[in-house]
Amino acid sequence: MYKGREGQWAFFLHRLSGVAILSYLILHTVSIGSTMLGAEVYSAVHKIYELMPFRLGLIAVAGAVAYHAFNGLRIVLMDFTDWGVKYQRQLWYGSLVFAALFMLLTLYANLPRLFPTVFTYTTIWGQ
Amino acid sequence: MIMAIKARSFRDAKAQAKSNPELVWWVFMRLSGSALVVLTLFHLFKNHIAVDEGSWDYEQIASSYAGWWNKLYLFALLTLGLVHGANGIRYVIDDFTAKKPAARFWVKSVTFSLIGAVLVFGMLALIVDLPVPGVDCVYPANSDPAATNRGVPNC
Repeated sequence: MYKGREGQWAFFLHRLSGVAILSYLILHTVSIGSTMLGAEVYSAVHKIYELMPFRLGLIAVAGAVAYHAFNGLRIVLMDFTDWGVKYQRQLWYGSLVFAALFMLLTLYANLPRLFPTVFTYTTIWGQ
Repeated sequence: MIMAIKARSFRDAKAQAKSNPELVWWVFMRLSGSALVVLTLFHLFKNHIAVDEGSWDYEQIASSYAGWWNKLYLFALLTLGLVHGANGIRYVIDDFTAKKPAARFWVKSVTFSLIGAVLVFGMLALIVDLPVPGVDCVYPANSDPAATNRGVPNC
């Protein structure tokens, strides 16, 4: 389709992140929706979310969501403008940069919460 | 067999679409996707960056559900997200089971049943009114609210 270069990677990562986000959305809906079954049920389910691998995974989920969002905008531009396809390679690098920035912002905000003894700085939100 | 449209413009998509519903899905993915970019990134900023996601307890969720705008926002996220995701995974399943019609049938049956069940569960969770601690119910009189199990009230 794009001679196996950037476009192929964009397509592959879009699918991979899409499947990952859908899987997370299903887990997230079940866990947050469990509040409907009462506070005790929610607390029991939420204990899993407090485990360190899960909380680190959430930062990766934020990165996957950001990549899927920005690359999705790239697809819309390719489909609905007459210059989108011509600059699809540049647009892809742009979406990678924006996704990385969003993930770094998530990391910056969450590191002091995850490792309070190591990262002692105060974020611009004051927590 | 229905295959995903791989066009790079609306005109090409129209020419390639083997059926009208397939063209509708092509347009839906782009429209819902554009809306989801804003809805999802703001949702993430609000709940995962500006506040500590790990600290969300029942009380906070119940209070946030009490607002109608919040409920509407989450309802849009849930329905658009799951339908966009269901159609996206359909493209993936179609590609991976292009020569296996029996596998395609079972994988799609299980996937769409799961997504449908989660969609109904999520909608119900948003529709049902949660008792808000301090408003609709109280903490046990003889206990310190801070010492209770992650803010679990006597609801």
